[in-house]
Amino acid sequence: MVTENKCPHCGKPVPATALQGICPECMLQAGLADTGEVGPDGTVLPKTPPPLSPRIEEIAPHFPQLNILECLGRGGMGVVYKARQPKLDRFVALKILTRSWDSGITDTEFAARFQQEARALARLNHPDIVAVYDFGEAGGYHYLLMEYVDGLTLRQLLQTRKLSPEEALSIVPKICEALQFAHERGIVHRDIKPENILLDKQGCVKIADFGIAKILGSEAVGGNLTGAKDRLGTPHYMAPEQVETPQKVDHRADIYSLGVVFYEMLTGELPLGKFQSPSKKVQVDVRLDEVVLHALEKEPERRYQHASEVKSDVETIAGTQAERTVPSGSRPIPHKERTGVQSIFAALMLLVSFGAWVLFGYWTYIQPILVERVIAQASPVSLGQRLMFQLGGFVHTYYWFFVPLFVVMTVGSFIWLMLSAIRPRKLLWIKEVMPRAGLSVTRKSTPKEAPKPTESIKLVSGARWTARILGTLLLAFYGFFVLAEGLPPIASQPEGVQLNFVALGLMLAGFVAGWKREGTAALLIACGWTLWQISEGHIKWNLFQTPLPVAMLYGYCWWATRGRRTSVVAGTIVALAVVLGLGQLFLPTSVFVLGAVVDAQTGQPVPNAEFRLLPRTPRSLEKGDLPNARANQNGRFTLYMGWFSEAKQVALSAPGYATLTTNLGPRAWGERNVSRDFQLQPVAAASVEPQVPPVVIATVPESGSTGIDPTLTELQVTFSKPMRDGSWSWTKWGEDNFPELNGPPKFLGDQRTCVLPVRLRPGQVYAIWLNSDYHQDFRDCEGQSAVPYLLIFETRK
Amino acid sequence: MLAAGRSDTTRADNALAKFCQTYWHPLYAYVRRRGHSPEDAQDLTQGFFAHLLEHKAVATVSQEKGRFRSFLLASLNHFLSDEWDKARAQKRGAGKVISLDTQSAEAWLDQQPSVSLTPEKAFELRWVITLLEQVYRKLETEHRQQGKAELFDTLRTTLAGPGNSAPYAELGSRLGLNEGAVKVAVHRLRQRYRALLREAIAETVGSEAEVDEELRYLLRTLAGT
Repeated sequence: MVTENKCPHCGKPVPATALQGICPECMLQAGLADTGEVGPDGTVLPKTPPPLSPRIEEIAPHFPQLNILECLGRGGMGVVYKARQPKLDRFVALKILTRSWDSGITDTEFAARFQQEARALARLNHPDIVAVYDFGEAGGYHYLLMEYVDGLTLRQLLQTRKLSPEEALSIVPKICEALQFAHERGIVHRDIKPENILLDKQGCVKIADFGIAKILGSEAVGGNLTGAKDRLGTPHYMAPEQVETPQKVDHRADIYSLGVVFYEMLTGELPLGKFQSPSKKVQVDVRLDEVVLHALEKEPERRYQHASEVKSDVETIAGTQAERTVPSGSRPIPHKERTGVQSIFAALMLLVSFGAWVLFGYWTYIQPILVERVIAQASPVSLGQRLMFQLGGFVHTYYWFFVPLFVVMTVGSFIWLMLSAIRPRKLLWIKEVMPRAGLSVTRKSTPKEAPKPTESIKLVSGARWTARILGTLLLAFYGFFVLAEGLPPIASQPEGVQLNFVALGLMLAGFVAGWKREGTAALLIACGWTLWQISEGHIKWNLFQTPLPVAMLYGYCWWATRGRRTSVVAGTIVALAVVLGLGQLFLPTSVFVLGAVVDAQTGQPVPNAEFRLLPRTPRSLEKGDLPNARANQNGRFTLYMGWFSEAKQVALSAPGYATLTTNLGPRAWGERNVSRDFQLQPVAAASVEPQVPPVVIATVPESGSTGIDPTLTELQVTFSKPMRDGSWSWTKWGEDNFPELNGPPKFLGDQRTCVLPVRLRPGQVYAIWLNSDYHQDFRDCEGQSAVPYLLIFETRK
Repeated sequence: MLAAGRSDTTRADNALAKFCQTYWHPLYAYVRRRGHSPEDAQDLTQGFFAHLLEHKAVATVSQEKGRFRSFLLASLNHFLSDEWDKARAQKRGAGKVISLDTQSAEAWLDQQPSVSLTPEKAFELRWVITLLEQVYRKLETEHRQQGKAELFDTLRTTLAGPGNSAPYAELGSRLGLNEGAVKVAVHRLRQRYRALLREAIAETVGSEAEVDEELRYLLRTLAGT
């Protein structure tokens, strides 16, 4: 029972605290680790664990053969002391193991395992592995007597400064060698981390604590993950299978941990979550990305299978880096791996496509249409307007821009990729690329044939740059297009058009994002493309599908550099395909009416009939903002209707026919191209007769006559048919030859003769237009204007 | 706790005030051991908190600086030597931040051997106890909220490790549980306790990695008395 004043466990007085009689020291000790097993009868097992970090004085009596000098460090595994063996006159490291009391291993089990593992460790004789001299149990402490390494741990080094990539490249092969050596002897380290990698003063790498994790059995806990984590400190270096299925851990777990250490050495950070590849964070050879990511594969089968493979890849990279005597200046290393041929090729491609765009554009559009027709007629043209015309003209030549561009880019990318993938003697394309593209399953079934990663790095680089260039050109193209055309009033556009602009926005964002985040770019562009197709209502395989290959290229880059998550890519493609399919089927974003306009009586086509969408509310839109179509000579027309087309009002009109206002009416589910015939009723037969415009049949005085009496007080003009009263166009021909007026003109009773009261002067030529090009107000009752007529005569002197 | 130093918003102020409420006790013990009277010590502790709040001094704590405990002690020292005379002239009685229950603090101090306990030791000792109290309270509250008050009251002594409580069979009979169930319950209680303890410590150190080290340090502090 608990007494109020003394702790029954440690015997110390219990202070008055809010803990209500619990001894703080024992409580804190219990917080540090589970301190013991409870026997079946409820009593505490007699053997109390030794303190976790015994002091030198406490352990010294148990090691009479050693002078224990100082404590070098404490970790989850135990405490390490520096000691001297006086007989051999050498320094040694004494490691006192900390047992995991959570692990549920009995003492006998522990002792057996300790002995078995320690013997195996003692046999590991390699210059890069810390040697085990002795092991045993003394005074309740399990200990290992090991080689003393005078130097730093990699952790200490990383804390003091950042390693250069060259240093990392020199350290990693040594670790690989040591690991390979141990793995060949069936020993897995299980706890590779910077704390366990020592660097002595000669610069040698030594790996410590081989297999200690197994002795301590922290992995055998299985379900008790928290226990395992507590024991190991940080789980960041553990391979996924170490966490999930600790029983199945093999040497490939070390390769994963090595990948983590490598990543940390290069970037100074841990590869947590969706981490970036090293070359994106620091200036290192992009080929290292592949090595690191390959080591960090989630599934052991996809990882490097042997530490020696890591070593040879790293050494290859380090070797070729040394060969290329490129001064390590400000130029980022990734560019170095592009060969001269590829650079020239890229430049050439850009030049050719740009040149083609400019030349074709100029010849086909700018010169004939803009310069000759528009600019020549409009006057005056400001420089700004002229530039806008030119810019717009360039953009209007998109077909001519895109044909050469697309051809050059596609062919060029292909050649580039081939250049990247082909090695002098054999075609790696088939062997390397096809399996990676998921076209073959042989790779999974024979994991040992993991390909050398450097080839696909070139491939990724090629794909990346192709996508970036193409994406940027597309960005410029769409950007210019919008700039030159001007954004339409989007709010007033049909829904399909609005969706179209959303899609365009997504794609543009994707083109920009591609320079930094390939996965995002691929997703954005693919989503944009999908929406675009939905909003268009059909997939036309034309040049406007160029964003799709860009998305695919970016997607490939993401897939190849971000852990090859094929399932994610496949899932995304399937999801987008489903969205596209459903969108095409069910979202009536774009409905086209393909129809014909015919005469209701004769069945003949009505050419040039106008087919117009009416605004849904009177104030919503100007007429011009709505799409409209005109029938061709056969009376056929196509009109884009947009969403909710069934209810939209349309108006059909043609001269001589009554305007028909109707709506599209019911439409089959998902039907996008609606066929309709519209019959127009002709209006009254009379007006259908050929209309003859009124003409001037007589004038007083006669046109062309001379010697006219200047005392004449009115001019008369007589038309071929009755005219509209109160509407006339007496227009002067010149300044001095229009008579002085003596009152307004008026029609006589028959409505065919119009009289103009005037005062004439002698010896004067008069010239008057009756209707002219600009003023045509002499009209008949139907409103047809009269044929212009020039009345000219001379008065007598 | 490092959240208390991040920005000068109300949230940070609240965090700081909460922290003052939690950790005033060790600071008070330290001031007392420096030889100040209970009244002065109360004023000084209050003054120190006011000073912290006013100057956002906690904002200067960066994660690299390591333990919050050491920082606080250093700040308090600095405050006591330099700032106090000035502050005292203006702020006596003003700027109270929290209510101090000096009675319990005095009771604890009375229990301590006055000769061997340096002000620093008093601070650290009290710090550990405060930490444990805080964790204990949290644990207790959690259990009470989950309706496990009886379980907690019976098993709480097992928190001090084996040997500090009645045999499990006896505990079991009190709770109406068999021995195996008691073992599981004890295990769970300890696990939760450890998690809370680590959490509380993590709040006062810069990184997760330092928690173990701090835990050991605190244990040595306690064991040293």
